Amino acid sequence: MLHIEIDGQQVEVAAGTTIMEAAESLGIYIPFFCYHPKLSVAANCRMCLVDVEKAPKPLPACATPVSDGMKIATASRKAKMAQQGVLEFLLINHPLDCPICDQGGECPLQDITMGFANPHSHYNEEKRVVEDKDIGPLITTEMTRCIQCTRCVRFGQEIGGIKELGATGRGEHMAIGTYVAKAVKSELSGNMIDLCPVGALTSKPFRYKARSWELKHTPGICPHCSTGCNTDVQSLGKEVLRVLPRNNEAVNEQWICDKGRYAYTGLNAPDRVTKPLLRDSQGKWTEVSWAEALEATLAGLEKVLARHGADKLAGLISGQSSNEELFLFQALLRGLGSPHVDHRLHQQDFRADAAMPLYPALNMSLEELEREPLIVLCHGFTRHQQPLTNHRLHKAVLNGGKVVSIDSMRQDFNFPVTQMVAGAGEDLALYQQLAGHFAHVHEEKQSDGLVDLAREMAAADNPLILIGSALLHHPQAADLLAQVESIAELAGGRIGWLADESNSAGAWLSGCVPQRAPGGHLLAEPGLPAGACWNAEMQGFILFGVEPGVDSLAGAQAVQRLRDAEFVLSISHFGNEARQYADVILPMAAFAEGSGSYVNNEGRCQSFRAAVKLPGEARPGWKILRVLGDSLKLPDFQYNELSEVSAAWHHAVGDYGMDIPPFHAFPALEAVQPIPAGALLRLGDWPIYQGDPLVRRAKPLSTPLVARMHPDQARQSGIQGEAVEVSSASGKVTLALDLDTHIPLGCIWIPLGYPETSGLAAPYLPCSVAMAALLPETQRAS
Amino acid sequence: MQIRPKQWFKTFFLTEMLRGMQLTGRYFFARKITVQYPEEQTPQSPRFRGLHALRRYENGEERCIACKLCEAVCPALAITIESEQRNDGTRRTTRYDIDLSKCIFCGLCEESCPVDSIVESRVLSYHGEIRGDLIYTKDMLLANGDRLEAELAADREADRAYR
Repeated sequence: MLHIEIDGQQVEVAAGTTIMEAAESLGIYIPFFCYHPKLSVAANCRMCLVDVEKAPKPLPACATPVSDGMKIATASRKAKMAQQGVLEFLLINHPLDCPICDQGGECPLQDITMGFANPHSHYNEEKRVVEDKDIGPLITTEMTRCIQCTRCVRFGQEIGGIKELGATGRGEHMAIGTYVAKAVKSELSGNMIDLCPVGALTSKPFRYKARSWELKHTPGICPHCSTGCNTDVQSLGKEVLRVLPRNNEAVNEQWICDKGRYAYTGLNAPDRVTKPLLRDSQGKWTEVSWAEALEATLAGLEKVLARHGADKLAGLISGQSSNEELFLFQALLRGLGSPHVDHRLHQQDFRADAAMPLYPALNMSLEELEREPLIVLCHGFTRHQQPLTNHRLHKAVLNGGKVVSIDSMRQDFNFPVTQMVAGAGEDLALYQQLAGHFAHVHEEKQSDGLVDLAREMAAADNPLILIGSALLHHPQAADLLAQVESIAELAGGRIGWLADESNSAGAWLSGCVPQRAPGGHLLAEPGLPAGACWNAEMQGFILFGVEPGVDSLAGAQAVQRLRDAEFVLSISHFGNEARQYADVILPMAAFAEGSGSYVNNEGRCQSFRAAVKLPGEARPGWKILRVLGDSLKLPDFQYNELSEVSAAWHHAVGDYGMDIPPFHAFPALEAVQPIPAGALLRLGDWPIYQGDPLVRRAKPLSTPLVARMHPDQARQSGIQGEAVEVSSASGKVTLALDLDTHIPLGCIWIPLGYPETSGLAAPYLPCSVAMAALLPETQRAS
Repeated sequence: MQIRPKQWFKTFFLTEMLRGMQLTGRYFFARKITVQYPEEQTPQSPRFRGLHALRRYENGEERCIACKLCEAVCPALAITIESEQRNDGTRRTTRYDIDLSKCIFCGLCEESCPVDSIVESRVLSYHGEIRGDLIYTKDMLLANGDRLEAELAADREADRAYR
């Protein structure tokens, strides 16, 4: 330990501590711009110059390690002169446009100038002007304001994993920008806005909407993936104006991904439902009062129950719903006598249901993930599915760990990952081969990727196997899971789940799966899982926050079943899809409008409050369910406050534990139809910005719909040009085509989550392609 | 009751009345200062704080850049601003309301304005027939500015040395 003195205060710090850190521990503030605790030290802004005894010149506090007996003055005449000098230099080229700058009011440069600058400037010459860059729909640049702290550049290299921004030129000509004119693609790019200490990078959707001081801050939890990032929802009046990360070192540190940051822009989509809607006998939609809508709902439900029995009623709820909503939803369905409750619209193979754990748990904390030496991702493209969990994996790699991904296609990770890619439809074979290699890892001399992986896993102490959400979307998910379990056993490893949706864990715990009651208690008579409801002649559906047409793998089939059903109640935020098949649409609170709690991937239960008032006559989801239960005269629906529902949820779920067995015993798995060999297979998953109803409607995040194919495969299939007509048994669509060597031969990758592609066959089913004429402009631009 | 001779004398000869009438008499013959409002007006300082106006630049462009400093500084919370990016990329208000029934005419909005956009003019006679009339919208304030620009500009010029 070293003894040092800062501003007359004695402190003892470990060797290697910088002056900045030592001062921070004493609560002494040293102004800075380029320093950031999460980034490497650049020491190029020189704002943190301090006076060190016996040093001839002031030293930068962020880059100077302390030495024993050091005496530091942060406010001596020398230090102050240095600070004033640096600020005067920084302000030479910084425009004084604070009144029109979105950073105004929350700007470190503004604050530090007020606190430390000399009020007089010696500079009378012209200021420098730097051309703005267009770096996409999320970030506005105003590069004249840049003070070249290079935080954004370092963020791209160290956190984002993609070197997108860089500095060109030297001295006065130094400018930050993309080297080649292009849009920033990182899914963490929004964090650069928070990092920028001036108004050079600001949020484009928020541009000129409000000033920082007039915004109301409400703590929130991001509803877009199972990481459960803590957010700060900032609103003005009835409108959410921006979402920023809230520091939580245990979950999201101080970052959030662009999905969490910008999805709010979808809240006021044109098809937002703000009044109860009722379809009359001619199929026309009319806005009605809640009383009328509830009356129609009760009549519809009673008709289904009377004519077809409760067995023909199914309830599907979104995995983004809060624990309270999930709990009330299953109570409503089960109270009505229907066992068919599910949230897993993304899944099609449910044979392994008996083996599923209490809830899909990571079985470790996110922080522990950083220290894992060997992580095997099984069909988990974390970069798009759980961006901030992905960041922990990135840190594991930076800490010397290794990440291996097994997937059906090569994925664009933002850090070095060894990738094992299955041939078209041969995912199961790949896992079987890997399991097979464990038997003779010590004998084999040959160096094949899989053998090496088996060898490494066998040699590693307790390797971590993460089950990604795409594994569950696979038609042979049960077999794959069984293989993963046996691989874990052979390798002596642990299994962690990467839950599919933000509250998948909560849905499992709350009993929104057909075979389990709240708390994971097995039910004697399990109902049908989500995927099976479409084939089971269901006559009544209660949909809660889902759009089965784009949220399920068999979109066209789902919509057809819903159209044929006698009564469909859709409790929803948005009406476009529900108008196709529903009989009643009840408007529900969306993100930031309702309160509740989520259980994240680790099993951490986090609650959030409503940030803004509900639009129109929309009501919080739990209140709608409570009223329905109450009017249907079901027992235990007499809740007045959300806290009462939460208490009931906690009571029913009990103490669930954060480290749980990853599997129960596997049942004997019936064989399913094998994936056809030889035919062109459709691959696909929900892209990062198409995963849920809200983010699909966020304009700034919208990405064009493009099919992807290996260039060799395109040649083999006789496809030339930029468009392709894809047809499958259930539909046909013309799509723009990108040639991409990441897609294995024998496959075409078509994203899910777009209404245009919902008519096509589910992933891993055959389809055929043909040349298509160029797409009409409108379709290509969308 | 004790009778004091001095008081008795005052009461009997009405001396206080005479002294009062003396004051009246002095003002009766003095120079009159009554202003025949509205035909005549009292003199005003260039810093007079009357009805608000939003000014424009000489090329007709509105000055206001929606920085919302006036809204933030207003002690009576009389100003409401909404802003957006105009098609040409500049920062502009879509709404600028001053509720004159809340306004206390302290002049802080004018003082905080970085572009001399919101100003208080010399106009002090205006009225509303219903309460809503006293909420001045952006259009009304800009119209005030257009109407009074010559005077406003002259007043700012006169006061420039002290600002």
